[in-house]
Amino acid sequence: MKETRSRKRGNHAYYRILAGLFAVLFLVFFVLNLVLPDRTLSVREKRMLTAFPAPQLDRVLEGNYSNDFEDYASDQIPFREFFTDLKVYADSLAGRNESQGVYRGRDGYLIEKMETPDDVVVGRTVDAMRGFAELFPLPQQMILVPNAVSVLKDKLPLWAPTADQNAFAERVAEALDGSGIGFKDLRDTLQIAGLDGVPLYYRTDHHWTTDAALACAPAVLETLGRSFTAKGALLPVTAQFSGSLSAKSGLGVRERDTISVWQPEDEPVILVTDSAGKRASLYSWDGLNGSDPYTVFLGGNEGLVRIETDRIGAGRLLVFKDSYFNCFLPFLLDSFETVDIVDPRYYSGDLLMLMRQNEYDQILYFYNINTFSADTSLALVLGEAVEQAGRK
Amino acid sequence: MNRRRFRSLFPYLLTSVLLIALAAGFLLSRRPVTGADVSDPAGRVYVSEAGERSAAEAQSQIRAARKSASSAGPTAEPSGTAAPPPTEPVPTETLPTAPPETVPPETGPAETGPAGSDSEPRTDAPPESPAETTADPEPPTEPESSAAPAPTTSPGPSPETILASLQEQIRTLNIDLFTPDELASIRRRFDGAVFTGDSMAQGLVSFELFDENHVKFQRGASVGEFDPQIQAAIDTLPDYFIFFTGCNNVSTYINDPTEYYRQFVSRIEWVKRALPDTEIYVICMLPASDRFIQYENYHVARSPEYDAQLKLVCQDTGVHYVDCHWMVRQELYLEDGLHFNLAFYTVLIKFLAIEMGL
Repeated sequence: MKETRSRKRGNHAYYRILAGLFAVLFLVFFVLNLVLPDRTLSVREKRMLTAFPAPQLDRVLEGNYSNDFEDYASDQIPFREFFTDLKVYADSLAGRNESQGVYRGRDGYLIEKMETPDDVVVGRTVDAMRGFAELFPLPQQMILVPNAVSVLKDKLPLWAPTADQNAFAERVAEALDGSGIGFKDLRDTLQIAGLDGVPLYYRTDHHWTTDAALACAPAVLETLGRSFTAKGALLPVTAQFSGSLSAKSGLGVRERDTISVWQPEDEPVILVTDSAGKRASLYSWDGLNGSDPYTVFLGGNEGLVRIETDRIGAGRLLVFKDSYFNCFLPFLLDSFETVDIVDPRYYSGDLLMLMRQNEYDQILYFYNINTFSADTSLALVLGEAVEQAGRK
Repeated sequence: MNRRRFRSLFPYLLTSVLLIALAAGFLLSRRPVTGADVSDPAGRVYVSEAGERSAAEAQSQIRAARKSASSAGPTAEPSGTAAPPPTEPVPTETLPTAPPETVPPETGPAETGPAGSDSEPRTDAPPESPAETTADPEPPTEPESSAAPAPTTSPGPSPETILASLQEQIRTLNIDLFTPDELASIRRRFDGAVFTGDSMAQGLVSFELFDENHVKFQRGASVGEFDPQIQAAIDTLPDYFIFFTGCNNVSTYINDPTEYYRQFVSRIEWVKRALPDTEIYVICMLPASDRFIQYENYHVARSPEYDAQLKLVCQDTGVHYVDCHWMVRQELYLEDGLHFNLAFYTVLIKFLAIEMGL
């Protein structure tokens, strides 16, 4: 009898402590939330954090205010990084190796999976390319860069489901057959380079490395009818790169990659013109210290960038590209006088006018498979130009 | 007793051991994995030398290379003495070269190169379309402030012919808009030019005559209020810097045209300092429509006063004043009565090309 009572009492204490701790935790976090200043930017997640939502009557009445406030509270919770780490750790204990479409692969590689491509979307893009090639029968090439998900297949978790990039590249090649657009798949080149120990992809980012781009430079320039003879070295510019895959998935947040840039021995004089003005460098060193260090290449993605070099008479190239091209660009500059770079995702200009204004010698499409397989903007931009020309 | 005690504590012990193990695992998972053996906190170990070269240096080096290539090669490319040529060599033109109007007739005839291939003349330009591809489209000239066309001996459609045609078009209100080829040619010729101003300059973008790289505007701004845009325009390292502002200035500097004068002079001096080799053009202050003055804002009726100040600004700073009053017709205003329509802008740009000798 006595024992049970004491036991009960002990349990009472236990519950009391538990409830007390719980209340104290609430209180501590509440006070910390009030006291600590709000942060605006999450460097790790590469995004702006939600700011305090000013209460507005209509938002409150619509019932949206509580959502806004919830976003704010979860973004501004103290020790946010600690808690995200805790969650990732808990997930890893539970054997979860995929988050937001990103696999935690072997050797610290984060690998973005490829969604099954929509044939309608890709068909539209290819049709637009064919139409554009009919309109402007210039020499043109299409370069497809496979992603880590197919080149680094051995680093994927066992039986990780993902679409087949080889088959996709073959389908694109077939669809382009007879259109006058040359097709080059860089898979073999990359695989051979990988066997030579070239680090092909960043571990925390979805891009390929400058090393991989260098390995592919001779093959790409050959398809453009040039040869890659430039001598130079890859120089690391940061060893603190934490890329987009890590930001997206919350995995591998402590991993760091190294970004290198190509420093040719005989460097062409370069003038870069974009919406921000003119620069003499391809690299944005401010971008290196910013939230996405990959923007060191060309300062990120712009609708239209013009590069002029002092290689007079070397030819004028028009490129439609995604961000994989940004680190490849330096390898082209010895062989062209002008390179105009259109990123259809951000391009709002008049492509037909651009073609009229400039006399390009060649057109290059440069995409990675993941982006190309889901891209709708290239079809839009090309289609608009074709349609406009037809209307005239 | 001890044993029983132990038994009752056992779950707690087990839990704490588990928790400690989990915490240790968590802490280990949080340690930096990869070698950040770079001393610089930013991790940067190398900075390209190319980053040290200024854009202006690069531009002049590339131009020099082009110039030497073109003098060596068979194809002539534009080059300039007073002002460097447009950024890219462009062989085809629709309109003929016209030297700025104050050039004495015997010194400034434009030479013509091979005829344009992709260009077709419109009715405003006489049928033949000589191309301006050779040297000196822009001989050194004294800055001037009159808008009268200069006599030239340029072969092909002379600036007077074009001007007469434009004036005729304005008179009859039967204005030829740009064909795509003409527009391409105009854009090429204005490639080295940048416009800056208020909504008047914005019209150039709205009507898709030029892209935003060539027009830096701030809607509703008076001359003291778009310094960031002026800076952006300077950053494009233009050969021609064109101010295009409207009646906002009247409202901002109301009853104080002298302040307007002072502000404008300081902006022009700034551009001159930043871009010593750049030709500066100032488009006159165009009046608002009669109905706008009558029904919306009678202050802007005073715009001629301010325009006179603007003319003075140009005289005193020695930059080109472009008088466009002759092309103002009530029919060419937009609905708002303050801005102009595409037809007006078309004439304006064609006229500007003559004025600037492009």
